[in-house]
Parts: sequence; structure tokens; C-alpha cells
Amino acid sequence: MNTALLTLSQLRYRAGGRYLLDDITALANAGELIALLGPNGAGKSSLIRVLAREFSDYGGDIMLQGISLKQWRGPALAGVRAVMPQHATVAFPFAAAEVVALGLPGRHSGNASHPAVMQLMRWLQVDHLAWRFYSSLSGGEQQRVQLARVLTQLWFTSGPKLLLLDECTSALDPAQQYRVMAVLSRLAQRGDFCVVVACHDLALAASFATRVWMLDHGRLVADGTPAQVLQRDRLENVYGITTEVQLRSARPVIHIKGCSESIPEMIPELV
Amino acid sequence: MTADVVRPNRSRAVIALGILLLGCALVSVRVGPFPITLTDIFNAFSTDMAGSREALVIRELRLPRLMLAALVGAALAMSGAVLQGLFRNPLADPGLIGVSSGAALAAVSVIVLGGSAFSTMGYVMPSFMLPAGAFIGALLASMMVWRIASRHDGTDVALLLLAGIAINSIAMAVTGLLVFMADDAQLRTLTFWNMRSLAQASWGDVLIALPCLMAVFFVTPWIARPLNALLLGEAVAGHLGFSPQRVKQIAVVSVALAVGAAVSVSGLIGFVGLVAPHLVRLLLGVDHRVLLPASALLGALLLVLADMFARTVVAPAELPIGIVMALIGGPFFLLLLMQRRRGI
Repeated sequence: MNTALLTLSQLRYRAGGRYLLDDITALANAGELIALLGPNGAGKSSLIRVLAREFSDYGGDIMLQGISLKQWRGPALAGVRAVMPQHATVAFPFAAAEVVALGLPGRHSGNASHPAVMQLMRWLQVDHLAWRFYSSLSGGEQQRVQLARVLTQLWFTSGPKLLLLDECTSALDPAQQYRVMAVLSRLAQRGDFCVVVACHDLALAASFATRVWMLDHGRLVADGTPAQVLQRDRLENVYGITTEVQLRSARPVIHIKGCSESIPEMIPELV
Repeated sequence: MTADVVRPNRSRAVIALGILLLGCALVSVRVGPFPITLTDIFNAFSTDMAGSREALVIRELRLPRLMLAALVGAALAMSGAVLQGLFRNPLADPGLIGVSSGAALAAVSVIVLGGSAFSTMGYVMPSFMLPAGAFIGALLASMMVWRIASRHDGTDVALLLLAGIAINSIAMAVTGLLVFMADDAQLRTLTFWNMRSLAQASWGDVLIALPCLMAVFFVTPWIARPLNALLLGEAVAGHLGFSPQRVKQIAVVSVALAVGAAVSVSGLIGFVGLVAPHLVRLLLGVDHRVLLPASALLGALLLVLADMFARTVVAPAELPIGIVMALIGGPFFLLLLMQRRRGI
């Protein structure tokens, strides 16, 4: 491949009179697991949603497989780009397998008996939940069912694919977070997936990501390996936290010592 | 240990519903003040018996009425199912959320305002004006409810039902005003229209209403899958490659056509759109590819039964079918509300 899977050039997105994304230029290739970091309001969700084509009134250019994102047709785009929402509520009593089957492309959509549904659910270890009501599952189980749905959507496309996840691990316990990240990492290692994960967990990003995009006030302030991006000064500038960062087998280990904005000493007393 | 969801064989269930509907239809043709036997039904279509009283009763009274009841039931049930999918809300029923009364108000306006406009010009109002008005009324009402109740993640139940209450009472008030303004000739038309039920059904009615009533049925192949995806949210449906905006347009227009036609041929009949899809979802699941045709069959079945009940229980008089449906549907709706209260 001579072109990158995803190219952002001078991407700008404006809403409510200010730039939520400002002059972002970056490349992403299949095989990468990119952690999208930055404080609240830095533009992580906006970037995911623009890449998901929820908005098309952006400036600059987004090219997916060398074709402008705006020119992709809906069904074709759905075959190479999938989006996992932060949390998905389902209004009606769907069984988990039926939710997964909604990801199947074209005329298979909704066929819960399609073999791919069970295969992916087994891989994500939720096959025993296939015929439970989705709404009765725990947060972590729902998350893995959604991941299975998103993967069924891309499963029938050969070649490079883009998977976007918006803070998909924020509601999960450490073991569940680790599990989801390990699955994503495995997919990226296979070589045909490019995974972009917006998240808040520096430790998770440091141990799984092959690349980190650090956003601050809508700007891409750093783009590189976790060791290059997650450095003491940058974390202080972007997040306002004081940290101690060590390198262990080329991956940073971050210890947070405090935040630069001091909290007033006095606890107000009831009068 | 929670039990697994069991989904019965869907095609078998749909076929069973179809057979049940046919059975009820046969019974419904036989039952009535003029006794009909099964052989009469078969004879009615043979040439040598065509002139008999039995054949006339079957062909000109019972059958068109049966067809209209089944068609209106199917149309309302499918409209309810589509609205519920679109609003992501199991309580959306064309009657409850004001779509039907929007259609009725428009129909009354056409009779009163349109009637006088045409008569001052010296013309008789063309007969398509009434269903056309009902269609536009249904369309406007559903767009208005949509605007009021939609939020980023679906629709708010409270806002949806409150908007329905508001539209229903506005429609009632304006209808009252129009009745007050109407002259004698218009009043007579209005009263006839208000009292109108399936009893006046003729083959003409059936043929005219058929394409509109079946509008939702015709678009099912295009909207069933996107409606399934929409249940996960508009954004997710977009990610899956569907165009939510387009589905909404197709769905709202076809529902307005169906409800408009149903209201203009049979007046206000509530709750079919609530009861039928709900029962189908309980039995067969939420997949719109099954839900829509199965709701159509069950809605037809419900209305055929209700109509049979309405015309036999106080025979030779008749109960309005709207009242019969409200007696079945009202308690059902209360039951649904109580279930939601307990968070089931």
C-alpha cells in the first residue's frame, strides 16, 4: 500500500462559534492501535464523530483509502468503517445475538442465525449470553456484545478497515477494560485493522497503543509512540498534572503525583 | 440464572396467523341477522346462484365490510409498529399521539370549509378531497409530534403522550368550532361521517382505500432493516450505512397515507396500532421484517373480531367499532403503563 488508510489534512470543525477541531493533520495505517488522548473538551469525541461522518460540515480533508470521506456511499463506507458508541441503549427487547446480527451487511442484516454472529460472540466470550435480553446484561457484557456487532459489520470486507471507538472502556472495571483493549490490540496486530480509541486512561493507552494522538483545545499537540508522547512536561502542559514517568520495556509507566491547580486547604464548614 | 429468549419459527407463526385470520373471516361472513351457511358462501360465486338473497348479502354486505375491517386493522397495526420503531417507543399509537385525530380534524375541515368554498363556486366537492385532507392532517400531526418529542437518543415518552393529548384536544375543540359554524347541509354530511362505520362499506370504498391502506405494506421491504438499525439510535443506523433521514421520510409519509385512508373510511379507531404490534413483539421479537407483516395479520384479525362483536352483541342495532376497540385497548394500554412503572 502506498497510501495511508486514513489521511487527515488541515481538518477543522467548527460548532457553536468555536473550533472544536483545529488544523489537524495526521496519518493512520492499518495495523495501528491509536489512542486518542486529551482532557475533557479537547475534541476527542468531535474527532471520532467527524471521522464517523456524523457531521460533514468540516473544513480540510479526510481521505479514507485515498477517497474523500464525503464521497463514500453509505453501504460501502459501512463495510470499511465501523463505530462503537460509548454506550448504546436499545429501546426494545432485543436478544444479544439479535443486536450482533444488526451488524451483518446487506440482506443478512438481522439474521441472528448467521454463523458469523456466533463465531464472533464466541471469540469475545459472550456466546453464552446470545439469547439473553440485551438490556439484562451488565455494562461489560453489553460492551462486548456491541464490539461483536461492530466486528460483524467489518467481517466480510477484505483489506484495511477502520474501527473507531469513543471512550468505550470508561464504564468498565479494570479486568473488562484490559479484555477489550487486548481484543483491539489483537485485531490491530493482524494487520488489516486500524483502531482509533478515544480514552482517558493513560495507563491503558501506554500499555496497548502503538501510537498516541494527544489533543488539546482541538489541536493535535503530539503524535507518536506512547514513549514519545507521554512525557512529564507534556502531561503537565496538557492535563495540568505532575507525574513521574518511567520507561519499562519501551512503554511508559506513569505515576500521577498531583495536579498543578491547587485545591484550597480549607474545607468549608457548615454554619 | 435467567432464562434464554425463545423465538418460535417465524414463518410458521405468520402462516398460523394467516390461517387464523381466514377462519375468523369465514365465521364473520356467516354471523349476522341473516343466516348464512358455508355452502352459501361457496355458492355466492357460482353463476347460477348469483341472484339469490344469500349471494347478495354475502357479496354486497358482508364481504366488503369484512375486507374493509381487515384492511383498516392491518393498516393501523402496521402504522403503529412503524411509528413505534421510528420513535423508538413502544407506546406510540396513531390514535394516542394524535395522528388519527389530526386526520379526522382535516377531514372535518374539508367537509365544512371545503364544502362551502365549493358550493359558493357552484360546484360539488370532488370525493377525493376527504381522503386527501385526512392524509395531509395525519402528515402534519405526525411531523409536529416528531418535532416536539424527539431527543438525541430517541423520544421522550412523557413528551410524546403529552403532545398527543394536546393535539387530540385541539382537534376536538376545533372540530367543535367547525360543527358550530357548519350550515344544515354540512351538518348532515358531518353527522353521517362521524357516525360512519364499517357498516356502509362498499366495494368502491375498498378499492379506493386499498392502495393507501397498504402503503406501509408496500414500503416494508425498504424500511424494515433500517428501522431495526434505528432501534440502536440514529447515529448507529448512520454508521451501519443507512440513511435515517430517508427512512423517516418514507415511514412518516406511508403512515400518514395509511392512517389518513383508515380515518376517512372508518372514522377514529384507536388502540389497534398499540395492541397488535405489542403482542407480536412479545411472541416473535422485534425484527421489523417479521413484525410488520405479522402485525398486519393480527391487526386485521383483531378488527374483524371487534367488528363481528360490534354488529352481533346488540343486534339488530350496532355498537360503533371504535367503542369496542377502546374497550379492549384501553385496559391493555393501562396494563402496559403499569408494566413500565415497574420497569419491566
